[in-house]
Amino acid sequence: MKLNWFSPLPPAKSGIADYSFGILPELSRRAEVTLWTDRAGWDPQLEQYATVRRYQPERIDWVELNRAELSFYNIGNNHLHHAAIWQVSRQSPGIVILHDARLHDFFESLYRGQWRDQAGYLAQIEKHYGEEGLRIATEFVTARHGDYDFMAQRFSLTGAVLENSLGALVHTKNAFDELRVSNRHPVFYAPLPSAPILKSANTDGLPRPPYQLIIFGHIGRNRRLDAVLEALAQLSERNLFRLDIYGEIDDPKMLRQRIHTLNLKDTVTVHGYTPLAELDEALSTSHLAINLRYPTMGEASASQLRIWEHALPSLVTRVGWYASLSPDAVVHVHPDNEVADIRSHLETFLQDPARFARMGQHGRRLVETEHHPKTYVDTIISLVENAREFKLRQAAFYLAERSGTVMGSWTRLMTTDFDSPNRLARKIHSLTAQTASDTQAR
Amino acid sequence: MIKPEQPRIEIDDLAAVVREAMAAQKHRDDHAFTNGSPAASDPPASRFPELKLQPDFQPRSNNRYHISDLLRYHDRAFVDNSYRAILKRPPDATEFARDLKRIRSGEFNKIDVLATLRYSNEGKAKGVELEGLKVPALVRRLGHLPVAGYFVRLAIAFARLPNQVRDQREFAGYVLSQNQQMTDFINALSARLTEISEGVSRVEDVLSKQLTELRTETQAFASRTSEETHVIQTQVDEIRVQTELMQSLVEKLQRGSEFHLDPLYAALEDRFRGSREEIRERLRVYLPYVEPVRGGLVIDLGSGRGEWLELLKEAGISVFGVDKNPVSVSGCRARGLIVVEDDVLALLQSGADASADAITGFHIIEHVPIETLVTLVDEVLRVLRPGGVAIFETPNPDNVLVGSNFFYLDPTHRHPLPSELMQFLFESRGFERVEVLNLNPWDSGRVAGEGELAERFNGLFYGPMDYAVIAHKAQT
Amino acid sequence: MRVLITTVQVPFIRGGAEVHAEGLRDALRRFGHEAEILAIPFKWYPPEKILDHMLACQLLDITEVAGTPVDRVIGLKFPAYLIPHPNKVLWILHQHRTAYELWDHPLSDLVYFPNGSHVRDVIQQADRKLIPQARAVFANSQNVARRLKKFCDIDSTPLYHPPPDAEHFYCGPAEDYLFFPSRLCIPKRQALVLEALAHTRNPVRICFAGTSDQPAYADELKALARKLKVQQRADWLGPISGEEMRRRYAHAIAVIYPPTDEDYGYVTLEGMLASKPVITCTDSGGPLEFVADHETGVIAEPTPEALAAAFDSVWENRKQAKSWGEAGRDRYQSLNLSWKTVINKLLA
Repeated sequence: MKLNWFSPLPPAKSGIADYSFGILPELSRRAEVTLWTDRAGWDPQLEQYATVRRYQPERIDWVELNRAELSFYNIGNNHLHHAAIWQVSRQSPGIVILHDARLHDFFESLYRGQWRDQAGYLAQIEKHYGEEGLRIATEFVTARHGDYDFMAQRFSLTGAVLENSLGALVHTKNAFDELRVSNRHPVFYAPLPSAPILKSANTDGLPRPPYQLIIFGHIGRNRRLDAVLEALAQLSERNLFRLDIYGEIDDPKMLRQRIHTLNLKDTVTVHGYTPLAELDEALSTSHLAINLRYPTMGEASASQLRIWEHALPSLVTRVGWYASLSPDAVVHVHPDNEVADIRSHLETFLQDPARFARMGQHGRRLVETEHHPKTYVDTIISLVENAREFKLRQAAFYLAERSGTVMGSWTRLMTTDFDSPNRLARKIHSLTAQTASDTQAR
Repeated sequence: MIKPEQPRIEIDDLAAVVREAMAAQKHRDDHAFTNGSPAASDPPASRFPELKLQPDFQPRSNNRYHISDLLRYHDRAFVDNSYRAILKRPPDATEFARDLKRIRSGEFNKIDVLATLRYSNEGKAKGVELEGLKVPALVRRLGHLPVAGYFVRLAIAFARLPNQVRDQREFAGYVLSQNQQMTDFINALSARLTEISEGVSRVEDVLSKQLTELRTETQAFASRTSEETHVIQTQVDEIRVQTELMQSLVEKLQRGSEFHLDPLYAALEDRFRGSREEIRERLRVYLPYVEPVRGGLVIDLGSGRGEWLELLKEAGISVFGVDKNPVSVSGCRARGLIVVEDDVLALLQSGADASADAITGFHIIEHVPIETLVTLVDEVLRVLRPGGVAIFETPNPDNVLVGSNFFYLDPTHRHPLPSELMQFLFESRGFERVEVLNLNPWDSGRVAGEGELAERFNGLFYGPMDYAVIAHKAQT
Repeated sequence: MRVLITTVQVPFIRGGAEVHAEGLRDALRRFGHEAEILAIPFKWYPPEKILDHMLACQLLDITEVAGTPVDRVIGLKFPAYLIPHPNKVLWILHQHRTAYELWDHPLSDLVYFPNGSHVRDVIQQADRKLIPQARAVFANSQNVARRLKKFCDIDSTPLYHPPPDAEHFYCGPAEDYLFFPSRLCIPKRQALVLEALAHTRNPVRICFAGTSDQPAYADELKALARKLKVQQRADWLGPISGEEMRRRYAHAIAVIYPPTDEDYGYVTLEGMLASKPVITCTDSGGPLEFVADHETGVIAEPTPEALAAAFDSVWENRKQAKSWGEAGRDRYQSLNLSWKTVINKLLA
């Protein structure tokens, strides 16, 4: 069994690169894996598990690609990492793994940013959302400060990503339910797998003050840092906490200013980008993680899994995937009441740190059962086993569209005269559908 | 994990795709044909097109018509337009019905009607010029003459035969074309109806989807509420657990297990140390010493009943306590105070350098052996920030009664610690500005009288019962 | 019976398949049946075009013509053999090879396309499902039957037929040349034969007959001959008439025919009809069903050295070559190849 895996690869600074690396050992045990990358370099460790092939979207070894039974294309919002993957996916249909359910950012940055093709961007919106969509998008591009959040929520553009695909794999139940209804393609769900951590989890006794808070990852506006700092500043017992922030910061100057203004210099330390080993070490000595996200792009969070791997309790926003997490493993912060909620949770933590420690343990158990890489790889393998079915299905729909287009030129009226669509559908079905007693020759 | 479903190909789905593709292609073809801007040529969805079998009648401002202008109309339109043209007004209901009947029955032909209108009094008054009317009208008149009229009509009929035939053909053609127009129109209407009904069903879909969403949200809300109820329930359960723990501790005490000393000690404290309020008042004296480190963190070692913690909390100074006794710890927590259940030295040793601004300990140092005490002092110095302050209060052996009697009321006290010894200890381990504060004299026990004996006696037996060492860590 | 032969045509290009279909039609008519060839134009690139043509075949209705039913349909080539008919018999010349044994192969085209594997799966699915719907499934040769079984698990009966003008072949005294008639293209391996020619120790001479679809290729072969310094001993006859061809057969010492995995191969049978030994290769496919090594010809490894040795052996030992050739003729007779047999089987 052979499969193609398109994904950003380490050392690319992408959570999806880490995710691929995380499941690769297990995946390579079950199938022969070829990794495809458009970058010049990759972590040599990868070659222990798979063959690595370099490609460009306009120049790719189709023969090599065709040797595998199924191709998997990992797509996320970062156009730098995923533009090439998307382009290949349109030519050679495979399974698209959607790491974000809202992909407006991807298309907007790709078309308008990278390709300087605003018309192309508008055409995509019109194609999937009609005249109304085009009108809104035109307003957006002409406005001085477009509302990116609104556009992201309104135009998920998953249709554009899945256009020529065999199916989609998503990591959140929300996305699964949404896509199943609105989409013609087969959709599958598997919980995001956790990646192995480099430093073992914190199994010390009870935590002692000062309690260590941690925020990590890409620190943008949606991480709600303002609310966290505000809440800390309001807390009279703030000196019992230390907050360490790890990761690339979108606006470091503003952050420093804020810390200074709120007089939190002794409480908050900003570390910037940190390699994984160091981050894991910091996590293993922390007591409470803060993983707020708002607005969300519908993604499941690899960071959250990492937090649970370290048996840490955490604060999450009650929105998207995070809202579905068990209150036995996290505490929720309501997006409309952030500062007060954060404060209240911190005070509760001071009262009863043991309870929070138990939450962390629960999270650990969750990650070991539902989010185990083995479970995830099972899903991938069963998709490969069904590869032929997907291809036949796609061929059937291709023929349906093709014959419909041809016939559309002849018929003047919209009424279903001659029952042609049904007859055609039956013919196409008999040509492509597998019978129950189909025997696989190979 | 959800097992991948077999993606079977459904015939209905395929047929739907075929139809959609057909529609899309038709749409493209139509727009290529019309070649105009799509927005302009698409009629607004709500208006229904009207069927116009005959062109609208435009009255002429110069009031000159030819009969063919009017003859081209038929039936209702003819009657109506003739009135408008000749009498410059629409027919009233009676006139309309009458003339229509005449036309339809064949009793009058159109010329008759025109002539009647034109040569009526009103018609004459309005004076609208109607070219080509005279002769036909005259002939018609002649045709109406008795007897001769019949022959005239006959002659006319023969003469007009070819015309009649042509007219018939024309009329037939006209009727056919009208029929065709009507058919086309009906078909277009029917197509529009289909569109509309599809639109309606789409709206229905949207509505039903929204309804489903609403239902889902409501359910989610309901489940959230039940979640929260569950959380509250859990907390209630925890409280119950704590209470049970307390009860079991008490039982253990009664049964004589190893924890029996804690409640005893708590009870001793209550009895011999004084009430909460007394202790609180006495501890107030230290507030000025921690005031300089407001905004920083205070650690209270051996916080016991938590009076000092309470004072600091009220003063708005960050503090947490450390105590090994679970009864004390839960008692403090119940009051909303922050306490860590741990061994005092272990906690200090786990602390980071220079991480606290003040460390206090009231009546704890007399409980530890001297080696431990030295280690404790070292750890305190390490954990304090530069400029930080340490405050330790202990019974004052300068008071003979305390040193020989009251000190030992607590069986866990080791031996009295003279203040000079403590001062020396703190200084030699590296503290600066070490001062000793003598506190809490037993004023009510003093003997009355003056003189050296009374003074000496009172000084030795009723002087300060406690003292505190207040030591600072150097700024740099 | 009214019989329709469904096959495929590539306009302007004519090859063995056309000859085969015409042979069948003429034979049917000789035996008193009404027969017509129904050829579907087939363009197989880009790969999705194959799907279009498959569906188009599925949509055709040849159950009757102008009110009169068609009694039998004989399907020869993909995708024409997919055209439905209740009384269909398949006599498969070959399946769409680039989806099967030529999939991951230098001679392939499908595998070079991004959706190649997708279309391949559909072709295999359609074959697997629809071929067995025929009344009977015959194959051009054992080679074809083997492929059908291996890739699609479908059982079929090999059904041989005589080459065109079989009765007009004759044998004559051998002159100093070996004869290699075939379309000039890579699968027939004229290049390999030229390289072998360079290794012979005797002044072996080879007459090549046939044209190439791309004129450039003929030039390439000639240039190769020059490069190998064998151009004196290689004659390029180009396109020749049937009569000329039979004459060449008749006076050759032996016939060379070492194609790559051939489905059937008229040349082998023509050589046997002319009582000449046939030199072929171990991977040549069809010819191996007829040639017996060192009895009716030589089966050599597909290397220049081995072929050169084969050429030398017939060049040096003319008597042995002659007796091998006669054995080949006997073998042909024993096969009982006749259109009568074929038609009986197909119309049963």
